[in-house]
Amino acid sequence: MNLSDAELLGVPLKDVLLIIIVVLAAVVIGKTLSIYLTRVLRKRMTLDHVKIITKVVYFAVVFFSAMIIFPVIGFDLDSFIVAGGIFAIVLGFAAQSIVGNLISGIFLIFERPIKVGDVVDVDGTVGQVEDIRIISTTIRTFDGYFVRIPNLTVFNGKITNYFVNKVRRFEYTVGIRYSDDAKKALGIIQEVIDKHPFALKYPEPIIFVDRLGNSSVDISVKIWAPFTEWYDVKKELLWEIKCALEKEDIKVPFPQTEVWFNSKLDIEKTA
Amino acid sequence: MYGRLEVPFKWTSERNAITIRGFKGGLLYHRTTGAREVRKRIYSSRSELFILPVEPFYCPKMITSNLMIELTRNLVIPPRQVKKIYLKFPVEIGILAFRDNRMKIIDVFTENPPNYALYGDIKEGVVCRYYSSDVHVKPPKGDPKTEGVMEVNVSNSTRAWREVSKLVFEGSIMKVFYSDSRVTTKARASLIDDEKAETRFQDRTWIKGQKRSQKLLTPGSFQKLSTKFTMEGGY
Repeated sequence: MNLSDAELLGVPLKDVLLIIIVVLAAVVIGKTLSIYLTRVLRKRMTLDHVKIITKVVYFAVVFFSAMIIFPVIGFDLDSFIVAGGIFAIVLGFAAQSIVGNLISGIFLIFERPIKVGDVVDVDGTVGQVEDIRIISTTIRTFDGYFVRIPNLTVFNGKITNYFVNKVRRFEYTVGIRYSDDAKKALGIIQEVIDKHPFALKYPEPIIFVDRLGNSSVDISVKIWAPFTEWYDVKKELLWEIKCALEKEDIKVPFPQTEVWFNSKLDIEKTA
Repeated sequence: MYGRLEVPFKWTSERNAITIRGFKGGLLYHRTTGAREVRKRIYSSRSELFILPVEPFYCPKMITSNLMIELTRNLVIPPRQVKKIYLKFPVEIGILAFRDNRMKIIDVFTENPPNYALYGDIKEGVVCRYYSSDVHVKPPKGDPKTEGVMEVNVSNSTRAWREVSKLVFEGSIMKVFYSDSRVTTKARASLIDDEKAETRFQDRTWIKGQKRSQKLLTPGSFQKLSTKFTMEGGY
């Protein structure tokens, strides 16, 4: 018997060999890619995310090998494509948001605008990132709430990451009376800032008369602090500045309005 | 002033007031710094207590292991020259308990109000413990409770004149030495080009007979792998 005419379960032997080669190649390529991706991505993302990505890649290789094998075993790929297309449209409509979140999740994992542990503001939700999963991101707010945000919202929304830079600036506006010595006030504020250990020497704090307001001379105070200490410094310094100014009889004025009358007022004093 | 403590112990300065006294079975530690108080009850009467100068990275809390010393007057160095200078650095004081070769930090305080500064840009830079010092050609005198004296060999290996306004060090390998009159450390700085310099603390003192203080910071404290600091944002 000619070897080229031999069959196994109705499939020519050469096709069987082709199928075996394709399956083996798919397994080898799939595994190799998985190992390579694990090695490359392990330092950039968590192990859970690496596992998801390597599985997606592995099954993509399996899918393409199946596309090669199906015509060989007599499976009509045209009808499969038509059926698959209809199924994909139905699935697409049904799973639109899931797929959107999944793709956004993959982009978030690669782009890394936020990391686990960062303090962020995602579309108005401020808190510490607890986990970034493939579909959603979880944030623990400073009120102690646990907020799950779909990755599509994270990806499309405005993200402010407070942990990217080593230092952070905050500012106050301190109003003093027109009768107070503004130069003296600037010196007192500078002295208070210099005494606080985490109000950074560099970048230097900026203190200046910013505005001549309706009721007060407004002094702008801009201070840098390490991002880990920023909130404590902000909490402490404003009160310390207020106390130091008052100690030197420089006071924060109440809003004042001067009212002028065209005619003389007859004010009757009652007992 | 540094060394083993005899209980009862009392230390009073403008900034701090410390008392250590015994009770049955242990020691009572109490420190007052302004409105802040630290109280500890040490349940071991057999422990040895020491008061030692330590690296300046603990007060008011440990956020960095980098030390920036800004020079009040810039140091100008000719091409291919090595200059030995002396700078002052801040000292913090540790109260440490030892028993069976195991050390416990009871408290760290400072007589020197600490300040911090950023070296480099806000994204890639490092927050440093900040100190300002004159450049001395001879070892200056200083109060060992507040300041130490660092000998620095500054080498300009380039072909141009260089001007140094500050030096930043990696403190995880900083070694502090002490005697009754002085706290010291030793370092070197190499100017590589107009923006870049390398600094490194050395594991020896420049005065014979000084004792080595207990090291509290380790390279693992901030997961620092390098023992030198590369100043890439200018000097």
